[in-house]
Amino acid sequence: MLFTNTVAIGQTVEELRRSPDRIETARWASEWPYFRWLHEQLPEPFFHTQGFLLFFLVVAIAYWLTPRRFNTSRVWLLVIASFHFYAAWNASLALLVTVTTLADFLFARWMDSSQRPRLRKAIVWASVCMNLGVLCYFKYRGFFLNELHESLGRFGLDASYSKLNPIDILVPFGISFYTFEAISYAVDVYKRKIRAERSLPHFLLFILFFPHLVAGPIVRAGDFLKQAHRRKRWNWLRVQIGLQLFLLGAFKKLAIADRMAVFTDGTAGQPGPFLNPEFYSTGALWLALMAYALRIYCDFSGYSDMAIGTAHMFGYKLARNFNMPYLSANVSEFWRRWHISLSTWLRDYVFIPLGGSRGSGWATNRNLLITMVLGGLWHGANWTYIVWGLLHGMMLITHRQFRAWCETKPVVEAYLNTWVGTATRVFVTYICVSLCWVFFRPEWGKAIVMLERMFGLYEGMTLPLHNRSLWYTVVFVLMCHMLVARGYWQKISERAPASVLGAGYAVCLITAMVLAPDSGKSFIYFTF
Amino acid sequence: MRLFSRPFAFVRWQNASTAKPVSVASRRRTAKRAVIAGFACFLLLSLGLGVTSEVYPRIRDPFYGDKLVKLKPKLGTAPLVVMLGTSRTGFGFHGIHIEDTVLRETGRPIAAFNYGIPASGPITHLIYLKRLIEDGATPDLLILEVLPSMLANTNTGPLERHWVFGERLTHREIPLVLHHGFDETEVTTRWRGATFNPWYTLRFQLLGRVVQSWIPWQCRFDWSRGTDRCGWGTPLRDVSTPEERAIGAIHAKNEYFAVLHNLQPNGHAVAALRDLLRVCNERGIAVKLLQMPESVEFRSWYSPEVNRRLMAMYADLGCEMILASDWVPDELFTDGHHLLRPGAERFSERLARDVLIPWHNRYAKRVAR
Repeated sequence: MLFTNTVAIGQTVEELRRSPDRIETARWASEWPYFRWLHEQLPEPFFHTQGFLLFFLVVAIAYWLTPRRFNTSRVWLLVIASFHFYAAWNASLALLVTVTTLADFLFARWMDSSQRPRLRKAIVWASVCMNLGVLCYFKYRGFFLNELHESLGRFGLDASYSKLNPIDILVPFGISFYTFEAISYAVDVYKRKIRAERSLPHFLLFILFFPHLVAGPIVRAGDFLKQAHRRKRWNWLRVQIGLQLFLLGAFKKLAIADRMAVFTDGTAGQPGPFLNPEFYSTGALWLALMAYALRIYCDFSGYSDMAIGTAHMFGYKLARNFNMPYLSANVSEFWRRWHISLSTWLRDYVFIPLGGSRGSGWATNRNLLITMVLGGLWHGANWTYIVWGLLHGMMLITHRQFRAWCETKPVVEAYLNTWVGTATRVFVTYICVSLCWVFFRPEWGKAIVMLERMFGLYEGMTLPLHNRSLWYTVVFVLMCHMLVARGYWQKISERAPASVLGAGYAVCLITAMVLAPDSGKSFIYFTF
Repeated sequence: MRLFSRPFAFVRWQNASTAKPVSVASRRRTAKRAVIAGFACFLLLSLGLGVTSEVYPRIRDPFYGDKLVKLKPKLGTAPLVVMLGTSRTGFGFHGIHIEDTVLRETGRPIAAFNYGIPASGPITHLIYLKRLIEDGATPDLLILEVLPSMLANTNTGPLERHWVFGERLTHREIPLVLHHGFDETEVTTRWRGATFNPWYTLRFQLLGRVVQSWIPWQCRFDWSRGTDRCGWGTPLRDVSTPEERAIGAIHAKNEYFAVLHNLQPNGHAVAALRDLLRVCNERGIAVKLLQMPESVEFRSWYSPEVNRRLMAMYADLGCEMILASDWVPDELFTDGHHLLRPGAERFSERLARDVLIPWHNRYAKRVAR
């Protein structure tokens, strides 16, 4: 048995080693010396690399040295920097994003100048279809074609094309994020919530602004464009807040998320429970699930914090994306605290247009289900993500029904509102949300095996790393949540003397560096 | 100055609802000072650790430094026998057992110390010998393990360059490794990382001092801390099953077979070995080369031609060579070349009787004269 396991693990390690990296190199970078050089300087669009910090420093210095009265020049500078940021990874896809953004700009101008409702409707559909078309081509083509291939095969028909390997399909970073931004802009202009932007650089900046380009937060034109037009003055407070957010994000990413990745994905010599659940014991799988919940939260919220902090240092305020989601007392609240920019987008552009909660109970439940399934599909082109969205939709419906039932039972409601009741609700919500994370990956079979082993009493390997650091991290995160929830953090950051704050920043950065694992892990949401 | 007089006064805050709000002007003033203080603190701490780690190599290279701490109390107590080698030595050279055997048989003590370091070879051993001499721990007898695979010279330089990185070296040691075929860019980049960005580059060395269990075993540097007072890396188990040995042998074969089957012992690694022998000669250190025990299967991976080449090279070095390859039976290995506890005892017993006691007798006579 031990021998078989060792050989199987060896094979998995070998497969992982041979599989191409998700971070692809630029296609024409090899042909154009400039882009090749750029790619060498900034090979990954990650914020916590030395290359990015240097890039940011150069852009920030040039930005703040440009006189205030030349605001458009500053905007152009950020547009050019953002284009280079993306082109360093893949120049042809950077061009694609720029071209679709230009098309969106022109569509909106045309729509805004037209008074004919039918033409306006046709234009908004053209804009939405173009954006969704690009998204589908890159992100969903493989999934739909492979499903069609399998379906035809089941009926004994020949699809006359071979199946696509998902690894061979190059998905542009952040395509789901900027597609949603472009769609929301077209719809808002169509509904006359906002006027079409007249300045091309400002609009390009709205889509291409590098802090939010590859993994959000999803910004709204109404919020962003106003800020882009405002002349900004150098301000130390802005720098301090931006730096603070950036450090917080870097700490979450390096010291927590990447560390937790060792528990879920394992090390070079031992693939973790999320990659090979069939080899791990029941206890190890539950611990790995807890680590994954922490990892995905710190990974994405850490990235968001870094993005918001970076933007803040240029004078742009991006919307908050997370608000301690694991302290939610129900799933509905969870979605008001988790990936806020996506959940509000889905609410405004899918749930409400479908009828929202204005219709009957069944209609509302149907709308919730459709919205969450689409939300799941947004994350990835795979049945597992659809199931993940479906599960969340069902949990939202269950919570809705339960809340309606509780309203008729004052005793139950009173109990649920005591601190014991609230703690129980938080715990149950956390468990439900965590169990859904099992499906948050492309491999359906692994998810089923993992669930099966979690609810049996299986023996197997222990976690790749001693679980002491996992428990310490959980306790640390809980304590930080308590500090923030009770308002102490705000008070500390406002009232602490400069020397203490400065030392705190240095210690935070150094701790993040010391706790970083052996190799940097990619951001989970970059692939969405 | 006010900043430092009561730095923690802010902790005694009032209730949030009654506390006086902090004005924006005051926050702006604090912001500037906080950002500058943050950068200054970070630079200071980085510079501090960079310089300290350059002065005290124990921070950069705990493999060496932690063993040195254990070796120091032994200095001056008895003739010092140090065995420099790889992880095979680390698990095989049982210093306490050797000291007891020699004392029992001769009535005179020796201080035996195990300087076995995983994934080391002649270049690492040369660096470590120079460090030992500088640190006042010159051995009276040096037993030097020769791991044949480490003598291979690939197109990209000696094999050791895959494990001995720039961050483990001090600035003065860089010319030595460059002279022995290490890649200059790689070595200097990593040394610079350890000096100017030490908190990140040396994170495993630092973290290993506080919480070893937080680091995957591949990244751990605390090997030398877990050894006994004579530097022996005590094997965790006394016996291994045939199945476990078979798995171990598969891993060992994947790692060594290709290198050993067509081994050409030459190039930088052999040059480093010659340099090391020259240093010993200059310093008057008695030195013996030793090839550690291997299982029958492991020994079969050397082709006859390779064995001939190795013998010719050993003869050419002009130094006593101890071939201990067949000293230990197969069941006392974990994977065909790392010894279990009984294997270590058997090897150490024979080493003490066949090599160290005769040397100790000669040494005692020479001292008496």
